[in-house]
Amino acid sequence: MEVFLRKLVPVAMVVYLLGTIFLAAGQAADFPKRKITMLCHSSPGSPVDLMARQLAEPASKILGVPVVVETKTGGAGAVAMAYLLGQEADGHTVYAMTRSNADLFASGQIKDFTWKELAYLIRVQTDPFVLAAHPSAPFRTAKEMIDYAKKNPGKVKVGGFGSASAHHIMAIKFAKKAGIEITWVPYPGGAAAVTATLGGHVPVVHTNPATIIKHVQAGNLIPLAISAGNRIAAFPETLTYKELGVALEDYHFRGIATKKGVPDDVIKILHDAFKKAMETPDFKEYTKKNDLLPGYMNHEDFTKLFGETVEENKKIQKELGL
Amino acid sequence: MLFEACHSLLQGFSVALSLKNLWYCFIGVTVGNIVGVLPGFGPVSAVAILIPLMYGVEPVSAIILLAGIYYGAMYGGSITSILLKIPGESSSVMTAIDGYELALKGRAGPALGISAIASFVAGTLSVIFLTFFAPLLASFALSFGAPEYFSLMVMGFAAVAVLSTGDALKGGISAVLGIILATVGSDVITGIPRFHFGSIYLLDGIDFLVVAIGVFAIAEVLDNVVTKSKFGQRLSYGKWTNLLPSLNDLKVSFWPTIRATFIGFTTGVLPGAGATIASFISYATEKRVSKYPEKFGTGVMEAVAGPEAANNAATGGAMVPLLTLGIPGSNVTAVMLGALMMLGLQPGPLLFKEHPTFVWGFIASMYVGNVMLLILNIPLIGVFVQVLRLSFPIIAILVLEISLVGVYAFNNNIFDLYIMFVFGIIGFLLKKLDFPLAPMILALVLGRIFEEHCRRSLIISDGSFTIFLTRPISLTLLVVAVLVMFYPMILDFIRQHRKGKDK
Amino acid sequence: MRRGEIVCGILMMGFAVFYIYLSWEFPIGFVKRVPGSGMLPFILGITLLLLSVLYLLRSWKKAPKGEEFWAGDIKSLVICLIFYLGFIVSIRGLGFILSSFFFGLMTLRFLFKMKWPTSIFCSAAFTLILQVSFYNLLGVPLPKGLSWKILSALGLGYGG
Repeated sequence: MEVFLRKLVPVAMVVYLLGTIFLAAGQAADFPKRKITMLCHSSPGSPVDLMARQLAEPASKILGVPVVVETKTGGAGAVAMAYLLGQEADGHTVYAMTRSNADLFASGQIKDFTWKELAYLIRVQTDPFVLAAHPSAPFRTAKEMIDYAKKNPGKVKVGGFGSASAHHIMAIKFAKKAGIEITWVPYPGGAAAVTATLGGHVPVVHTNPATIIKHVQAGNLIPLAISAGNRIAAFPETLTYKELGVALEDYHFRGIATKKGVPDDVIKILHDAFKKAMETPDFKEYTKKNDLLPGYMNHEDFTKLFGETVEENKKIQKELGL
Repeated sequence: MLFEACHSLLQGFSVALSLKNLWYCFIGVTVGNIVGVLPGFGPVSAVAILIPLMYGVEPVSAIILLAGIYYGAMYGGSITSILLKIPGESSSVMTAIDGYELALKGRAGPALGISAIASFVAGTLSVIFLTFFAPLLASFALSFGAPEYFSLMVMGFAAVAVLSTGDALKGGISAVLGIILATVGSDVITGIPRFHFGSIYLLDGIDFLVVAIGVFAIAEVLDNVVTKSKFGQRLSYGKWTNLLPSLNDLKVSFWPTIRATFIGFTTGVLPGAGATIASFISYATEKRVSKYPEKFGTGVMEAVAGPEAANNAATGGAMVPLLTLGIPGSNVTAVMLGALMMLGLQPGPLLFKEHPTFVWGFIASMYVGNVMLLILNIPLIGVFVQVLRLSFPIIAILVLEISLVGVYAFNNNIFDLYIMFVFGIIGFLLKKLDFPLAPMILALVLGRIFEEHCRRSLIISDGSFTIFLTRPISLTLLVVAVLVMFYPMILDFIRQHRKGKDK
Repeated sequence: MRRGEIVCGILMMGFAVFYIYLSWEFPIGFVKRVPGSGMLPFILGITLLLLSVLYLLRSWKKAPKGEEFWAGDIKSLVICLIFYLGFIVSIRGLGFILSSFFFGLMTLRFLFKMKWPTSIFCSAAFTLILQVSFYNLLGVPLPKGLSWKILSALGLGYGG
């Protein structure tokens, strides 16, 4: 009996292993059973919504099922995430997210779940931050702005999206490393902040390049400095933070997430499909036209980056006293 | 310059009148009209569902379609407001107040007719303004900073005060409750959420359309249920000629429409003000200049013509910052901008120069679209008033179901349904106690922007309150606000002064 | 109206006190020379408190003792509210189709006392029209719930 059992255990284990592999393979081949819903917390036409739609189109063809963008606004993404977490962890619901989600988690406004309950599938694009000034401002270059700010602490008003947001935190980080003091003027959206600077009401705006490129071309705004590692094609003359002597390189990022607990093979299918979608000519064309940077990052690295961003934001928000 | 604009416009018509663009225009205004009729489901969502269908469409055709949805929705928004007291769009909340009362008097047809005509006149006039003054107005759109918006909101509150005449105490309570509601949600200035009781659904605050549907539509049904006032009773509208506005209706609506066009257009030009606030200011203006302000709220035609003209004129105005600067002034224009970017056209300050056919073709299409909407809407009045022939139970179910689906469609959230339900009850109680509800709704809209711009101005001025007085536009608006608020007292004072002199 | 007004005034006073208490959590004074996030709420709370006291005093003295606002068919009102709340509560689990149908049926039959066939026909028609126009034509993701499972089991499920 004992011998029989001893023989049976390995056999059972092999059967079990084979079974799971088989079943898993079956599941994998089975994965997109029906349409995939891509949630988006930002209104149609916003940068992350544009990314979601540009990605959904080729991804539908690759996965063979419709990928439908569904807008679920509210609480800067909290509502969309709560909805995602309420769905089954089968990969049929994904979420087009941004770095702003990290700010949200860091702020502690969400009590019902943590950032760890999401699976960060893939980072799709990065978008540098840019400082731009109105022509009437008492400075024309970033260097002049820093000098001016050193002489007049707190007098340089910088407008931008939100409070304790990615844009705010990046501006504070820049100011700290440059050794200056700025006053942040929060706006409910990037476009509103750009409008205020165009009107000369706030001398400097901190935003993403796509929102100001046309105004720069028309001579209504002067780009001062950019947070990317290298100069970007849209503003070839504009210095990077590093060139200014401010040791800082950082980006806004956008990507795709889903619920944690989605089987690994399904995550792989989704990741591969979106990666393939990013490599289509249409998607590349859109990236180029909107002055975005391709920012592919795989599941593991992206998860790590997101976690680090949340922790860093927590620290800065504490320092800011928010 | 005038000649130049005419010439460009003619060229624009050659684009807009091509068979393909006429078709896009027609689809746009029709979809817009339908979307406007359905409460909750607004032009933003409509544009969103059409975006995937627009790959490969020429940018000019795309914007003709999208803009058609935008101003088409303004026409449609008044229909459920007048017939069922469910505001179809946020900008037709004011229409619901007097429009519905008119419908109860059996004058739904004329109210719908006046709303369509006023919309057409204001829509067309605003496109004329857009044609000739767009580049001049670009700097006006930018001249409003935080202090100016603050003063504009103060003017808005003066309008609230005008609406609260009658019982000032009750009006005041209603308005304060409205601002209190506006404080719910994340505070933009500090990012701190307030009064959200830990709920993520309250982080963005309480949506005013949800509240408006609750306190207007749901409360109305509850009221009728409790009083059994209209059980089994059908509203009649008599002969078919009663469906059309009378000469007198047209006459009393003429000046309100013209005034509202100016109010609507200028408000529309300002990014972040928009159609809803325009309709409020127009309503208050009409009440202020009227010879019988006490009749406002009981069903007067001016109170339908004004707000409806204002919200249509605002759509024309909203195109000014979009076309001349590439700045989205409202949610809808932001979506349009996004759609254009997707099609590879990025509107900016050089749009007029770089893409004249696009700009002028689009402007020309707005003339065409407004004509289409008028032709579309007048015959539909006969169809829509048939709703009123249904018996009360059916109408009650219709209102309750449409309100629910509409509020759900607004954000796709079940939570909003509970908010609507609660405000249905609150609205019912306040109504029973004779509290005016309009001040609450208005204050809810204005409150948030008011506080935000006040604090933002003070950040910009390093805490000095003189910023509101040293800037000319801001100062002017504050003076106007004081005048609006105390106009009757000033008038009385002048009259008494004169009397004194005569003696 | 007098009792109604007094009750309302007391409720509003209570709300004002509660609201002031809540706004206490935020900075009420100036923060870096800019009003803190609690300043406006605090001012509003005090204003509401004052106004409701005035209202209460006025009602105490002047309000006529006539018909109270709760005169009328309160039973129907409560039934209507319960049915509507039931609709909202059940929409997630039952899905829009079933909960809308039941709401229409119950309200028409038991509140408005219409005949069974009319009630069934009308509620089914409304549900169908709303489902088709909002879900199918406009793509509003109305809750599916149990309704959808039943439809799929019957082979009538459509869409994704």
